[in-house]
Amino acid sequence: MILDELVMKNFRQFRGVQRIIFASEADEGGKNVTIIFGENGRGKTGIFRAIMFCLYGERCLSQDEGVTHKELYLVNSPVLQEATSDGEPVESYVELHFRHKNERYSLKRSLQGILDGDEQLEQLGPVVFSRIQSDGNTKNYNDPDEIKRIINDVLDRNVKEYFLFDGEKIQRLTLSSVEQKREIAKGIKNLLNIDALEKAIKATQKLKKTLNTELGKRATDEYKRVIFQLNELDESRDILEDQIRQTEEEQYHADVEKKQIDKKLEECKEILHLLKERTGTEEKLKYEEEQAKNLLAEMKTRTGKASLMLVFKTIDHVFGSIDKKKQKGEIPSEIRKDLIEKILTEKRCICSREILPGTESFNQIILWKNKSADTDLESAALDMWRYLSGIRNHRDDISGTVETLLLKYANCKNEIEKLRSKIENLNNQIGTSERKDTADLEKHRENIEEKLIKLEAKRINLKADLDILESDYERLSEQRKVLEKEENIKNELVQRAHLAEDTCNALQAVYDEFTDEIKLKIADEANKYFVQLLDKESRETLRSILVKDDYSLQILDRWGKPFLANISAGQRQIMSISFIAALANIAASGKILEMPLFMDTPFSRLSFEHRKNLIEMVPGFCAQWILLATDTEFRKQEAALLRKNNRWGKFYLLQSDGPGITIIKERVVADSQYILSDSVEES
Amino acid sequence: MNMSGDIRVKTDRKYRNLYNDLKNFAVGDMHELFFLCSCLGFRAKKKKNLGGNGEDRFWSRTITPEEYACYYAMMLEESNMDLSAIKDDTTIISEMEKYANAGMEILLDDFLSEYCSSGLKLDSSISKELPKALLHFIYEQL
Amino acid sequence: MSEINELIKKKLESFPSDVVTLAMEAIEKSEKGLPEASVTEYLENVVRKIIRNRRSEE
Repeated sequence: MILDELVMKNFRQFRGVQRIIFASEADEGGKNVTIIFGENGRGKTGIFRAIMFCLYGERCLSQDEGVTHKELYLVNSPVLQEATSDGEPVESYVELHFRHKNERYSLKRSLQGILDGDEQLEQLGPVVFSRIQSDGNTKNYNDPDEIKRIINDVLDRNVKEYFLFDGEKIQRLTLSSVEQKREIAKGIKNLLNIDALEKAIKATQKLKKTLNTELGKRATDEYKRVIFQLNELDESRDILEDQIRQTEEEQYHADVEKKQIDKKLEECKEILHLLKERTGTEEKLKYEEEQAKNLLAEMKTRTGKASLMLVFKTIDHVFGSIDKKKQKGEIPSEIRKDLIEKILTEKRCICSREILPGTESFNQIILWKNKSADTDLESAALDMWRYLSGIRNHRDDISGTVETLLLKYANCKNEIEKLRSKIENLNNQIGTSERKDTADLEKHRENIEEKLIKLEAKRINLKADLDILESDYERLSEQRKVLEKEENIKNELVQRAHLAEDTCNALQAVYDEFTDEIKLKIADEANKYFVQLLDKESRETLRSILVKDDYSLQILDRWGKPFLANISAGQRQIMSISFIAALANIAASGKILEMPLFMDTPFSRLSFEHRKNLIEMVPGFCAQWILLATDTEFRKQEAALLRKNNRWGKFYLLQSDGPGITIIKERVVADSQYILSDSVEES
Repeated sequence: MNMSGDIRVKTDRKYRNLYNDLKNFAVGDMHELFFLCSCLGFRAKKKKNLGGNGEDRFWSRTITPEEYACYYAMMLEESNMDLSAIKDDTTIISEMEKYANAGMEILLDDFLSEYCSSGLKLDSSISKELPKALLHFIYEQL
Repeated sequence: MSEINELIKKKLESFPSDVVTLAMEAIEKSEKGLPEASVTEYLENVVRKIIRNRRSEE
């Protein structure tokens, strides 16, 4: 999809009819960058909103969380105020012209607004949609469902968020929260387009349950009991999974609420530095808690090796004993046996002394021969000796690893305690602020924090219960198979139930394999962009992006250690943009994805070198780049860079025309050097 | 060493939940827990017959060569270095089952009981740090 | 058949043929937009057929 033109009438701040023509690759010279420049509050997000409204009929954006439809007006309010005196409703619309796979589309969505007393009422109007096919014929569509389907084919409403996104969205991808995991999982699943596979898994699960219930009714004795228990476990699994989902949902909402409070608290400037410090400390705490979790997981795998320490004494004793026998030549005895046989046959000792039958020496040698052990046992003892020798060689490593792990864990816990008490201290300072509303917000925030901790503990316990249930299920399934074999149960229903279960497991295995593969692929691609976009200094510290099993993103430092908690806001944005670019690249199977990359104020937290890298790189890896930029992030320096690479095609200014009204003015790109301000830091 | 893989290693039926729970919370696999219990029983020179209470717990193919080597070493030390003690893996495993059975009693008495909610079942709400506590317990035995 | 289904089929190759048949039927029906309950109902008949065939061959 390539955006050609946006026309708005009385939509949000935009009074009357206003339009934007977007630059795209098809333009002369392959210019594909459009800059829409405006101060905060001029309506940059209004343009983003217009596109979302036109394409999907959506009134709210993800950043409007907590705002209801009724509070969000789309029709321009000043125009509506003027019209009310005439008693006329106001017409508003958004019209979007775009291209996709050699066809041109035109979509217009309108609405009417009217004032009823103080209340602004808005009613959706008709949708007009036409498609000019590659053969030049135009086809018009009226059926809303068909229009929805076609638009969704052009740009899936789930995938859209990765191409049309705001600055907030970029931040969300790098926070270690349920929300982040959900975003990444969604992106990956959308990319894979495996809805049908997910549905097939659920359908076969249901089929398995139906057949097992049927089987439970017809079975007898012990087999009936096992089937019954398996069905019960299936039910419990559903309940547990549902509880986990619910808990995660609650965590998500609590997280959103916490962020909203933080936003309000940030408005209280006098405590801003404390809030920033608290956010930083909380991130560090999360990191340390994650480390503690990883250490516990590592310890779990060390019990076997650590138990060796309990029998070191026995290992030494037995090793020493066999070693002595080896040195004496008693083991392996084949050599000794050969020697004895030779002496007895030749009746001569190795020192050439004659040894005749009946003599005491001869009898001693016969005794010696009879004492020789079984060669198999000797070889077993030698094998054992080798393994014991290996254990002895690693003795220090084994005990050293245990000591290091315990020490690391203790340090980690210590750090967690310190960070917790620091947060408590900061909470007290923030809470004692003179502002009462701040104190109230602070209290509310504490409650949410507490709730989040409880929810996380609940989620971990539920997951543990689910693990136990899975191992019980595995055990019972084994028992079921044994019973079927012993009692020769192989009727048709049993076979049907087994086929359903095997198919369900097979589909699940394929699903897991798919998601694992794509996680690796995305991380790989993301790293390619990451290295190119990072500034020199960051490149020295950071090594690579990782998509973890639970869909969270992690970043590794140059020594391969997790480093996410310590990176700057700018580095986080670069990480997210790399991830999104990787998604786009994979979705387009390695080519440039025919999709606009639409970014609302993306530069605000980036260093100049990061901005420079983005400006140089992004026009090359996407088909169309539309930037909604504000005066604090897009200045002469950035504009000069963008002009230099010759991809900048269109430049628009959002200007105030009275309260609540913005007009869009097109300027030539070269004007940017007169219009934009100088960078304070760079000048 | 034969290191037979087709022996069903048994533990007392009453420890079924404990073995499953500990596998989930504290140890990597069943064979590791069994090894730990065997070592504890052996160190304390305590054996306890399973009698009719044995229940298949895991296949011997999961036992690592190092663990097998230690089982052989225990058998040799117990028999005063008589090599015939390591002749048959089934006998060795059966002896280790007795040590492990007594070892689990020791583990319960000296360590696990405070993590069990009712009877022989772990309380998941207090078992979060169990891997650390278990390593610490092993370390303390030295 | 869509590209993704071809990939799924390839990944299913290592499973027994009856499993592959049922799995592909499940995916194809799910892809057509049938509700989950209808897919399950349809699969019940497919399973019955597969097992009957298997038993008559035995």
